Amino acid sequence: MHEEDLEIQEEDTGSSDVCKQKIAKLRAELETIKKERQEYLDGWQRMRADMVNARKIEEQNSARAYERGLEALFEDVARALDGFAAAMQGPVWGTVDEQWRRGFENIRAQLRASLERHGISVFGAIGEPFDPRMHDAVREIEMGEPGTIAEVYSQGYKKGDRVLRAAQVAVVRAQA
Amino acid sequence: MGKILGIDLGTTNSAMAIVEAGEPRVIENIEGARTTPSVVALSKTAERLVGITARRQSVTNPKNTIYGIKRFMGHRFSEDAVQKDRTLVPYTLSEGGDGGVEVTLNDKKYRPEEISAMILAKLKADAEAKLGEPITEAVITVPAYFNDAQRKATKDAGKIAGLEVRRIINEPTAAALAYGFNRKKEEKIVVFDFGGGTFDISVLEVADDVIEVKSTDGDAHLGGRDIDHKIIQWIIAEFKKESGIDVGKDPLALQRLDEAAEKAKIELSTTTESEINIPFITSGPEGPQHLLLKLTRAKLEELSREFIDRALAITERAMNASPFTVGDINEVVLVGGQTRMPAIIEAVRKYFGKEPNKSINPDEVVAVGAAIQAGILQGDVRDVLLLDVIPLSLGIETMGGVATKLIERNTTIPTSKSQVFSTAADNQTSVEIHVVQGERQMASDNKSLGRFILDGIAPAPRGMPQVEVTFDIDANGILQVKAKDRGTNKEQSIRIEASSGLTEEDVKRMQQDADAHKEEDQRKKDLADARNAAEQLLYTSEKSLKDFEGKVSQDLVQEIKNAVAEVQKVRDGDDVSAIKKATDVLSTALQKISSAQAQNAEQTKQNPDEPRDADFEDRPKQE
Repeated sequence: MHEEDLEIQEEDTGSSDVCKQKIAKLRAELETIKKERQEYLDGWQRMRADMVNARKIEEQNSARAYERGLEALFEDVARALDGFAAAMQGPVWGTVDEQWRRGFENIRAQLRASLERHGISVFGAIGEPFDPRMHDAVREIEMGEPGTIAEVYSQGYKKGDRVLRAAQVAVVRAQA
Repeated sequence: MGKILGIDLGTTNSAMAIVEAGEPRVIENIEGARTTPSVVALSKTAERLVGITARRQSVTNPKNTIYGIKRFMGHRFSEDAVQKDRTLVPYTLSEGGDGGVEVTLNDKKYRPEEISAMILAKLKADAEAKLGEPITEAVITVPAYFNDAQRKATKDAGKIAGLEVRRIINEPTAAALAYGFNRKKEEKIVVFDFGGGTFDISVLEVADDVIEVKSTDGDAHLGGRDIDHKIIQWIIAEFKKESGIDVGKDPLALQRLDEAAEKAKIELSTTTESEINIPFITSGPEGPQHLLLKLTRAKLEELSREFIDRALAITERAMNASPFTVGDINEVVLVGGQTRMPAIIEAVRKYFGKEPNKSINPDEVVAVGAAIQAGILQGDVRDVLLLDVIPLSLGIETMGGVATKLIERNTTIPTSKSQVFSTAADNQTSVEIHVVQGERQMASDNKSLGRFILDGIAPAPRGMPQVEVTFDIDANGILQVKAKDRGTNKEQSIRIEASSGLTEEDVKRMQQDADAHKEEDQRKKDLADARNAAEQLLYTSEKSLKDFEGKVSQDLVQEIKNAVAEVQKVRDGDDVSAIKKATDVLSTALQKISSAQAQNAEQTKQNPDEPRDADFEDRPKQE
């Protein structure tokens, strides 16, 4: 870095030697100060950058925290949906009074539809190939096409590509 | 220079964190979770799975799903511990050429280091994806009881995963680092780590920046899962009593029970009662059956008692093995999710006679500590620029002797803050700025730092002049207080050096004083507030009576005058409620003027630049 020479005011009428010494001393001092100034500027810039970065991270975090809050709410609602699924499976459901049955099925459809509106979709069906990215294998069953889903214990839910809850399933055992 | 990743490589779960802008931050994995199951699998299609996906397929592929590999790190196959644990895992263990342990994945043999490396490689890849930069270095934690061979194996695992392991640190040490205890001298610390599947206790001593493990103990098969199982057993028994049906054999019911039990346990950390509600849990001869039970915290504590007692007995053993007594311990740190349980916190508090540290998420505290160690290594935690905080609040005295804080304690300096105040009396031409320091509500109970007078304020009704008061503290703690009259631009200031030579004890005493006098101070403050409000209302009444003279009924004038007399009678007394009552009566009477005048009185326009309603104590009023 090029710096213009420091102008030094002459005091009294000192000899040129004294002046030279003084200049040398001041030059040295200036060098130190320049170094320090750079150090402080660096530190200051770094601090500013740190602050901007911290703010960015904070923004990401709060967006993520919001998502997490939604997911926590969803997890609770999902349990109620599991209750519907448990009620409706098995032969007994077919013997329930039709008006009541349709009413309950409609409430369930309504709940699912409201999740859909928030981008949450349901998955997990018998016969699909087992995929640990989406399905949580709870146990194995002998009958059926090996490696496919034999029973769905609870449905899975995802938002976009993100699996919010894996479907809990039974998988058909592969042939030994 | 790249970032160094802090990794808590756990038996059941692993977590990672980094230091960014001087602060540790936990990094989520690609699935969006803050912890990753320490599980590795080779799927039937020869795909390598790590973490939650590996765990999800484990029942379909038990022989090729490796979990708990940490238990075998750095061990020789012939060791008793290996032979014992070998019978507990579904995958195949065998002896390697050098006498070490090997596990089999799809007919191929791997050393435990290689399995751990697969977990580390996933963490590395996920961190890189989240941070958008390559990660080549790491700090990894290990249990305090790990020997040299186990530590070396962990280091090798890092190397295989493409990470240069800058340091291996003890898990309890990491927890202590997360709380910053390394900065204190001569501290004796206990780390109580009650996780999902293992329990560890360590006694540490900090001396000369080194944290030394004095004793360590634990139970490799004791944890939160034991409590979950106990709850499930209780629910099954209760349900059987009620309905006669045993749901213990029904896999679907068990699955729902498992979730419900864990949820109830977590809920009971913050509530005293939790409802376990599983509708349509099963079908009996009489149709569908529903499970609806209440689990109280007391019941949960009864169910968990044996596990807590076991942990405490081990704690006592570790204390006896250390050179310290319980009374010597300065800090206790809680690690592991199960330590959120109030009964465990209480048991620890009772045993050590002090409040344990639990402010950092106990699932993440070890990873956070590893990141802090990494931060020290990467030079991010620099000591060059130490930012200080002010230990006590700073403010000025306002009307009624109230201390109005401008800068709250624990604010990082340098900083500055301005606030606009006004006068308390009509035609007041000067204000006194009395700078006080402390947490008490009334100025006279705080420390006086200095005072000065700003005069030359143009005569105006009270509340009209705008006096801007600015506090500015530089990095050295030097306080500059400036008062400026916005009307005349006249200003006056004072410079106060440091915190006027307060010692650490002074600060502590002043903070404690504030706590001790909290209620009394609040009463004084309430009284001052009530008096100020009364004062303000008296002023308004006087003005209104003059303004509306002859425009309102004589009855109303008399009513107001009576109310004014009542306020004047009680305002100097100490009865806050009497003052409030009298002011309320007066205020209601005054409102009658406005409703009477509502039709013909013109709405006075609000001054948008109106000053805050905090008023100065008027300077020698009755001179």
